[in-house]
Amino acid sequence: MGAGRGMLAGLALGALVLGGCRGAPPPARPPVPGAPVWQLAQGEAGTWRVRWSAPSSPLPFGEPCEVQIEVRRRDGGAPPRDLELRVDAGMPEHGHGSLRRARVQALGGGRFRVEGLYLHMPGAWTLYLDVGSAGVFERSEVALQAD
Amino acid sequence: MTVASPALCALALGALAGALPDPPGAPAPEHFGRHLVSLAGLRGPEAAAFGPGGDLWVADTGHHRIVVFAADGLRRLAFGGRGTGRGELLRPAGIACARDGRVFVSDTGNHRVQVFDQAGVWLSAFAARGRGPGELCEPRGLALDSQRLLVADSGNARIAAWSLEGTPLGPLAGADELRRPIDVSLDALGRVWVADELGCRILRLDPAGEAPWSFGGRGAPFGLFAGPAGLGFLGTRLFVSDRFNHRVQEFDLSGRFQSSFPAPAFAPHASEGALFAPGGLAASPDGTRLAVCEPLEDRVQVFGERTAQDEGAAHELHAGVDESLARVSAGAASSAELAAWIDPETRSVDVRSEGEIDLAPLTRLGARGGLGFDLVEPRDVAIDAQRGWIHVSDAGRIWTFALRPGAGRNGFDPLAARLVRYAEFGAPSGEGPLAGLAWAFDPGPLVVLPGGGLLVADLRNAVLVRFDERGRPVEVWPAPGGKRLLRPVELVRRAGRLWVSDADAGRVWILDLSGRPLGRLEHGGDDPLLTPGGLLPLADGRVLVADRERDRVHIFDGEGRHVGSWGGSGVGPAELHQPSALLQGPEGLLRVIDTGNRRGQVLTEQGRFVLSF
Repeated sequence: MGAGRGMLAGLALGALVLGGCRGAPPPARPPVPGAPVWQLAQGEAGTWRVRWSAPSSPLPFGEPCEVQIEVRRRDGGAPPRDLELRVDAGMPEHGHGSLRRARVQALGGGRFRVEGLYLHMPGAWTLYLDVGSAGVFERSEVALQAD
Repeated sequence: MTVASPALCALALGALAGALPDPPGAPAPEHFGRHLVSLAGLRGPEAAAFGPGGDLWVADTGHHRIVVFAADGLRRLAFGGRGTGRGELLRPAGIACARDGRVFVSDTGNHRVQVFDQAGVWLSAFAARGRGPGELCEPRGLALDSQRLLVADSGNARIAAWSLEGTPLGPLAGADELRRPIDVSLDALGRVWVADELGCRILRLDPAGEAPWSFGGRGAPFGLFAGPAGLGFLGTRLFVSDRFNHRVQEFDLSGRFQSSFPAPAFAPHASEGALFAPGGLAASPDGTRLAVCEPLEDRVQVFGERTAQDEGAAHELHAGVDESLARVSAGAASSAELAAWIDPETRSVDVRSEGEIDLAPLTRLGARGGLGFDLVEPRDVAIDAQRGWIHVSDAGRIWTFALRPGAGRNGFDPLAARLVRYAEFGAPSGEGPLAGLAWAFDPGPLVVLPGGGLLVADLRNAVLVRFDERGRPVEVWPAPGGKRLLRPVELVRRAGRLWVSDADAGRVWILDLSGRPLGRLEHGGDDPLLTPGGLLPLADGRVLVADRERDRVHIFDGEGRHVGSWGGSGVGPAELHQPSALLQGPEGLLRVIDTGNRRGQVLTEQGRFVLSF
C-alpha cells in the first residue's frame, strides 16, 4: 500500500514536471534504426507538400528499388478522394528518362508506395512526382544519386 | 539624327553576325538518321573522313592505325601501328582526305600530323610537341581547302593553319577564346566551323579566320550540347555530334536547330541506329551519307536520309491529333524581357531573350530533353511576367513552366526551366464547369488574366474557358453577342480588353475581361476578313490582324475602322505566306511569324522589312 502511494506520488510529480515543461521544445527523439528518413520534395505550384523516403542513399543503379511518398495539403486540409500520384524519372543532363515506368500503389491517407523504380545508369537522376486532383497535376522534384 | 535603341542595335548586330548570305538553292531541311551500316573490328575510333572515291577512312584510335572501308562496308586497307617512327601512330584522332589523294592524319599522341597516299604509304610528317609556331599539342580534327590544312590544336586551345606542304601559317586570329577545340570543318563558302568540346558551343569564323560568331551552350534541350565532338556538312546542313546527349543534331548555317537523330526515345545503346557518346563525324562528298564514330562502342555507323516509311513510323506516335487544328496558329507571346513561340517542326517552345531573338534560344521547352514531360502538339504560349511562368497549351493539356533567375543571358538560367504543373481534362464528367461541354476540353490559344488566372480557347468545343491561378477551370464564357464561336484561333489581352480571332467566322471579337462584347472587326478594307489569326493590339489603341489566307496584315484604329494593310503573298522581304502570330519587341518593331515561309520577319508598323530570323 505504501509502495503504491509512493508510485502515485511519483506519477503525479512526473505529470507536474511534464506540465511545467510544456513551453519548452521536446527533447530530440533518437532515430529508430531502420525507420524511414523523410525528406521534402521541391515544388513551386504550392497546393501540396510532398515528402519521400528511400531505403538507401545513393540508390543502387541497374536494379528496381522502392520509395515511399507522402502527400499532404499545404493548407492542412484532408487529401481529396481522387488524389493521384504519377511518377517518372530522368537524367536531365543526359536528356533521357528511365527505361521502365515505376508502379504507384496508393496506401490511403495520402501515402503511396512506388515500386519498380529503375535507374539504369549511375549518376544524377531527378524523380518527378506529379500530384493531381480534379485534372490538375502539380510537379515536385527530387534529386537522386544512383551509384 | 536618329539614335537606335540598344535592343535595335543588338538586333542589327545579331543580323550582321548571324545572317551572312547562305549559298543559293539550299535544300529544305529533312530528317536524317536512317541507319545504313555499322563498321566493326575497331577500338575506340575517334575520327573518320570520306575519300574522293567514296571510301571511308577511319582513325582506329585504340589500335593506333588507319582502317579504310570500301563503300560496301568491306575493309580495304589498314596501316599504321603503335609507335613514334615514320608512318607509326599513337592514338590518331583526326583525319582528312585531300582531293589529290593525300591523306592527313592527326597523330595525336605524337603531337604531329602525318601524310600518307591512297595506298597508306608514308609521305611526310610535320610539327612537334609545343606551344610555339609550328608546334602542336594533341592535334585532333582536321579540315582542308585547296591551300591549307586547319588543325584543331586541342591542347593549345587554338586552330592552327598549315600549308599543305607542312609550313606553319599561324593560328586563326578569331579563335582565341576556345577551351578545347576538338574538330574543325569548312562550309561551301570557306567559313571555318569549330566544335569547342569544353565550351559546349560551335564557333564560326569567316574564311580569313576572323569575325567569330558562335551558338550553343551546355544543356540537353535541342540547340544545346553536352560536349560537341564532331562536325560535318552535307551541302548547307551542319551536323554536330553531341557526345553526352548521345545524339547528332542538325543545324542550318545560321545555327538554327533543324533536327536530331536517333529518335528521341531512349534505346539500348548497343542496338543499330542508336548512338552512345558519338565522337567524330564524316560527311560524304556526294551529300548522302554521314559516318558517326562511337569510340565507346568500338564502331562507326553510317547513316542516310530517312525515307517516307521511316517518317510514317514517327507519325504514328501522334495519331489522333487533329493536325488542322494544330496548324492554325503557331502561337507566340512576348513580355518586356522574353519572347516565346511555338516551333511546330520540333514540337517545342523556344524561349528567347528580347533583343537577341535571332540568336539561339535561352531554352527550349518540350523538345524531349529528358525533363519528364513531352509536348505533343503545342499550340499557343502565354507569359506570366510577374511570376516568371510560361503557359503552353498542348493537345489536351495546359503546361506551366517556371523560368528560374540565374546567370544566363537576360537574368535567367537557360537550364532551369522547370515544369510546375499541368492540367488535363478527359471526357466531360458530371461535375465542374466543363461538365456541360460536348467534347473533351482541347486547349488552344490562351492569355494570362490579372491575378494569374488563364483564359483558354477550347478548339474542339469552340468556347472560352476561364481558369483560376491554380489551374482549375472556373467557368465557360457564353457566346459573345449570342453568336457562337466557330474556331477561336487567337486570343490576346491588352489594357483591360480581349481580342478573339474567330477564323472560320471571318471575325475578330473585342471583349472586356468578363467576356462582354465591346465590338467586332469583320472587314479589311473592301474585302471581308477571310481567316483572321494573329492579333496585336498597339499602345495607341490600334490593332493589327493577320489574315492568314490573304497573306496580309490589316490595321484597325481604336474605333474598329480599317486604316491600312501591308504584306501580300510571296517569299521576299516583307512578303508573307500564311502569317500566324504577331508580336511587338521592346524597341517597337514587329515580329511576324511567317509560317508558310518557315521564318520570322522583323518589320516596322508600316510593314517595312528590317530582318528575318
